[in-house]
Amino acid sequence: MVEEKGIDWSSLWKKEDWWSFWLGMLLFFLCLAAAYGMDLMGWAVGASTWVDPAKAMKPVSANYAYLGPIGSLVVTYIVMLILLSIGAKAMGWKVGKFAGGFTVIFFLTWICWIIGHNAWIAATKPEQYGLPWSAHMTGEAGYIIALILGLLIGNLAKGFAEQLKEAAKPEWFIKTAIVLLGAVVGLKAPSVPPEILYNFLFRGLCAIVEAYLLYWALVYWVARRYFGLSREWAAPLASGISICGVSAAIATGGAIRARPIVPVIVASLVIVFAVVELLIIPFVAVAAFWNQPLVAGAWMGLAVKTDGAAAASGEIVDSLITGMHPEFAALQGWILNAAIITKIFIDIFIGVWAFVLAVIWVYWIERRPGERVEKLEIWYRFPKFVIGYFLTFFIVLVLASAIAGSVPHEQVTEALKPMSLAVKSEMNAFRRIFFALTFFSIGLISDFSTLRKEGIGKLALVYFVCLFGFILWIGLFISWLFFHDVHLLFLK
Amino acid sequence: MMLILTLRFDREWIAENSVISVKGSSLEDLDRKLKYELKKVGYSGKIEVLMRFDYSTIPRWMRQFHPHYFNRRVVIDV
Repeated sequence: MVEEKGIDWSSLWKKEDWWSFWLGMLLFFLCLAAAYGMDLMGWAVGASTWVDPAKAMKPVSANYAYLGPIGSLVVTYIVMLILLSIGAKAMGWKVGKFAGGFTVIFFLTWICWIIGHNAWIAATKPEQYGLPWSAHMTGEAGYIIALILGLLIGNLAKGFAEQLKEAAKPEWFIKTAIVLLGAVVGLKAPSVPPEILYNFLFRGLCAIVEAYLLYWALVYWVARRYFGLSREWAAPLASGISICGVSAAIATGGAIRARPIVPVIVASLVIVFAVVELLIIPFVAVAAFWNQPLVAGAWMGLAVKTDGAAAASGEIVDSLITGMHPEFAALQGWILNAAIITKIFIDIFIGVWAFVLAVIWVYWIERRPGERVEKLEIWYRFPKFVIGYFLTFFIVLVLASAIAGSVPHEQVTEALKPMSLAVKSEMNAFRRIFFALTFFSIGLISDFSTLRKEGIGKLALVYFVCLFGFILWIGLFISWLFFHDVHLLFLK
Repeated sequence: MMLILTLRFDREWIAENSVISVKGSSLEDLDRKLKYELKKVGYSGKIEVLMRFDYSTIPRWMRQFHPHYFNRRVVIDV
């Protein structure tokens, strides 16, 4: 009956959060070998803008050209299936069901990704492909197609969607992608002035104040004062709307000891709103702020909830602006990074915020004698993939700087070619596949019938009023303060 | 030494292990009933109770977003 206390180390292999770290770091090191002459992962499949379907995909490294497009796709699928299934097994999922679901999700996503790369849709210079015009969407149109297909299946073919849901893990996919993104940014970092990096960090720090102290307080007040929600509902809803979506709703629900039904309902609502935001806000940002690309990117990090949808929005904004406006090509990756950094800083703080709320609720609001709030909860809630993002960033930054510093200036580009193959081609190929899987999976798990559930109307109204009433505009204003004209530093 | 219980919610809060199972309409009610139950099975003095929320009761699709709901550490004077 009496048991010993101790730290539960099993979360290291039982939680998606840790698995995104392990998987991201494994792929990172395997790809990094290419920078030192061992091209282990060059078979990864990459898509190109195409008119002739035979040229739609190929291995990302010329060393594996012999595999051809289909061989490269099959090897990529098999390796990803094995790695992800190991994770699924460790986390106690049904591996057979996961493998079946992943297979369908992988190939449907890949078909969407290839369709998105068709020159009529993707080409930013259609004349290069002998076409009179194109939609100028860049290959990232494939993400939107994947999202729409996922939404259609998730809402119109629910039986089929149910079969796939074991493998529909947008958060696992996007967090793994973000670990790899750290390396991509790390390779670019030495070429930009340090003040730009400081700008990114300060914007991230400011996002914490903005989301937790400004948005949260306002949403909580609106929900209580004008919509009469109880504290138990208002606090998780405020976190879901203002901070980082589902994760924040669960953390806050836990902190205030809410009945589990509260974060479950709030999370269902957040998912639906996040997908609507993902379908609208990036395009508004591109249309209105294409000439302030970093403002648009940072805005996505705060405006769109859940890590998956926010990162996905940043990717759309990045690819559309750099694709449609070649003068901003130097900003490729940085626009996405503006969104990611904003989001990451918000995520990092969620443990501290949940701890503060728990202290307030347990010691003052509900005053339960004998109950203690544990500081360890801060670590439990800390997003572990963030460690991976910063690790890959610093490792690549240090290695690339060392290589660049060891050769004369005019030989730097040549000296960095193997590193570029490892990071820009191979890691980026996996990052893009994980992004595409995220889009499809978000669509698949977004159930719009949630909105018909009894009692959710009032919550949805609070969400709508707060999002369009002030969250979008304050986020835009502060992004503008930090990032307007910063892109000019990149263009020098 | 600490007593570890699993906590879940099924219309009411339930804290249990292989020997003890206590239900309460609220967490305060749960703590009150737990105190009574501990007394009944022979505990005395200050007992530290760790209630680990059973995260498997959270819908599967949600668990990927956050790794943990909450744990409660309560000192009960039996």
